[in-house]
Amino acid sequence: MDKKKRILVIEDNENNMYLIRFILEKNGYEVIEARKGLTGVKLAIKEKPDLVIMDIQLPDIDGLEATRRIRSLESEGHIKIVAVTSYAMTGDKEKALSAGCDGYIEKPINPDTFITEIENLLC
Amino acid sequence: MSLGKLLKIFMLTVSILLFSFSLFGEDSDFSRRVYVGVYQNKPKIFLDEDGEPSGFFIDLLKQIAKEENWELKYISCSWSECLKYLAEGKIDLMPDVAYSEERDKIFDFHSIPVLESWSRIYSSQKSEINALTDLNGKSVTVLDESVQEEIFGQLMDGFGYSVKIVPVNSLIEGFEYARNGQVDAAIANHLFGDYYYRSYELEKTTIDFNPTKLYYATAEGKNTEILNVIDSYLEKWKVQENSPYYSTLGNWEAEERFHLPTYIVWIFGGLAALIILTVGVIFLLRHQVSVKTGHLRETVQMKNRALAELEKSERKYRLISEHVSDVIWILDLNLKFTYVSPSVEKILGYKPEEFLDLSLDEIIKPESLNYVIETFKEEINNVELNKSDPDRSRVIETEQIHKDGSTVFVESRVVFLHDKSGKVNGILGISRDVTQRKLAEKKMREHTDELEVMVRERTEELREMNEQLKESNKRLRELDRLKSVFLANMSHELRTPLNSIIGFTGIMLQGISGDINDEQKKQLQMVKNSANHLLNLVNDVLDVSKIEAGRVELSIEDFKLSDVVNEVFETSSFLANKKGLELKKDIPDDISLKSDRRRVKQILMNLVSNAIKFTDLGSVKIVTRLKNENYIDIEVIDTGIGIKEEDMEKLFQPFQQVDMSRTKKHEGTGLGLHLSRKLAVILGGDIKAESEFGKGTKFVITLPLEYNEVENKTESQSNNETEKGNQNG
Repeated sequence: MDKKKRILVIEDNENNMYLIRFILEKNGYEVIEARKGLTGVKLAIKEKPDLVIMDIQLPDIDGLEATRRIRSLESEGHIKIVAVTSYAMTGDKEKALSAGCDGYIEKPINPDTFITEIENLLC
Repeated sequence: MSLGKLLKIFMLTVSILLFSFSLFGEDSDFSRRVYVGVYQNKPKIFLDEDGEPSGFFIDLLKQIAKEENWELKYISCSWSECLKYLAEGKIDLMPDVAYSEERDKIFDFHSIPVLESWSRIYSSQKSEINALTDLNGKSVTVLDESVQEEIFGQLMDGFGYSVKIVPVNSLIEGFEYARNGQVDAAIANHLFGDYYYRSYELEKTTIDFNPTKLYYATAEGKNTEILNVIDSYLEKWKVQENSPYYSTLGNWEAEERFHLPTYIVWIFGGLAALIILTVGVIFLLRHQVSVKTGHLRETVQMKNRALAELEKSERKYRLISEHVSDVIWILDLNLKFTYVSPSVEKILGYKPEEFLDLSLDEIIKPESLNYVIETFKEEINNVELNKSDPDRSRVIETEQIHKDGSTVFVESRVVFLHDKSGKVNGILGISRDVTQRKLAEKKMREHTDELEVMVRERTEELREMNEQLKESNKRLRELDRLKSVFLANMSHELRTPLNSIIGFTGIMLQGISGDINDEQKKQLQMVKNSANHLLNLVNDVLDVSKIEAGRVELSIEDFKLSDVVNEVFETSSFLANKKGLELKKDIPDDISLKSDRRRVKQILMNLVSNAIKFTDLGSVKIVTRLKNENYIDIEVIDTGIGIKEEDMEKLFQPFQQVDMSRTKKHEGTGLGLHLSRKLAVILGGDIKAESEFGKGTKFVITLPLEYNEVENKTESQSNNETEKGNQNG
């Protein structure tokens, strides 16, 4: 098998973090965790993961601002970012894409389709 | 509505209230929140390698924010984006903005400058630019939409040099171009340039221009209080040697102190002298113009006076000839009447012969008498005027005594009679009774006064009412805002744990976390279904509230109707199969809509699940037909239990299920149809139902083929506030 792909998960809710980590690790990914937007930006620039899963609602700077900061700081290569948006908030999707995200996944996370969505974004 | 459902809604409300208290508590630590734009212009302002905003302007602002208890929120953007955001109100404050008259029209600046800076040219090593003349024929980068861009262009035009100006998005980009030899030189403010030129292997030239003062800026007319606060700190800190201003400045200073080079001071001193000289010349010219204007004015006034005299004499003769009904009299210089016309009896009640025996003080009331005698004396003794204008007249108003003792108001026009030598020898007068007019005037005055008082009182009342209205309007707006923020927060807070429940039951059902037996699987499936149901309820409640507040945000796009129907059928197939129902559709492939795809799907999903829910045998079918060139009818037809005629009107009301006896069996949020219809209306259409009890129901959704934004604007106002509150909450 290839070298494990590394995914940075920026998510402040413990349960959600556990859920995402659980599914990803069961499917052979390495997970890096960040619970705040600023830590997430720092780790994204330092670790250069294969994918960033970005929650929109975060305690310090929101996911949109974190994405914009990663975009203005990344020096070598484009870091893939996928936003996690709420179904009920119409417009979040558009805002995420215009802030520089490559895609979005809707909450609640559907374990049946989650991995397929991640794989599609990684290739 | 069943008791169970009422209880559920009650519990929901209680939990909503509990959430709201904890949520609003969090924000109260700061006195206000300030959104600040951040762009890359080291060392004044930039994002450091950790992505944290930094630089002199940011550090200074942080010091002020600490004192004022502001919460600073940063938005990163490019220079021109930042200015756009500022004008649009997406950010409150933009640091490091040079003052210009152009910008002063769209932005507000505080009054004490934060820094003084000037533009400097940095050349690549091989280009050998030492003086302004060396720039001719060279290429130079300059920040796009900056003050320098315009000024440098004018400067070069002024000297007649042709310089290729290359606009760049950031100063870094400009320096990179110069290093790579793509241009000969780059323009940057000296703070940035002196900090960076060595690392880009550039030369610092002595070509400086455009000294500017740098400020924090806000959008025109907004956030003036922020500017006032900044000014108050600058005023205080700039005179204290060890103030936060100077300690922060020390952290970011380049190799040179921040002061203007002396030659710039000389150049601008010279310019100032020139301006003073120009102003002097302007004043001199203005004075000469005003003297000439004065002469002209006097000439015009003389002409006007002559015209007035002519009018007066003409009026005198007209009075005499027209008003024979007035009293005409002649008085000699001993103030004895020598003639009076018969009409005197009508005014004062005396016959003419009686009247001629009376003295002035018997006719004229004491309060008028003095005035009359003084006026006569003055006119008679004015020798000059008698010579120059012997036929002049005067109007005198007097209160006179009627024979019966009552008061009569009399208006008299008098002229003076002369002998051959020109000396006055008598007074001719024409008098008329103006008592009615006087009384009317008096009454009118009283009325006017009364009216004025009334108007004043009413105005005051109106003003007070207006104030009250304004106040309650403000309160209502604030309540409305709180409600929106609250709803957004509530929906987030309720959905977060639900998402967890749905996610974890999902992975357990998949067996990823280990094997589970069939009974456990069955029970977990029930947990997951219930959680999904609750999530739908929360989403529906949120949707209804948004619609009622007029805050639905639409996302209009082109899509194929058959794709949406396929998706709806895919989701519903599980339930339909379980009941043995057939899902059918008859939709031409080429029908596409320009509308909100997600909302259209939501409506169809609601109607199809309803149809499946209330049908035990047969099919659910979707058929479309073009109603006319602008509208389409989408019909959802089932072969279910149908609706009684008397229940039809309750159909679209919230929290109603028409067949209450079967409520248990057909569990739903009770909001589906209500919501669907509201959404259809917002999208410019409507939903109608036809049914035959026991045979089936047909719902007809009418939608415009193209959503028309202008027509539907009132229903779909922006939802920004809610979403903003949500993200920050």
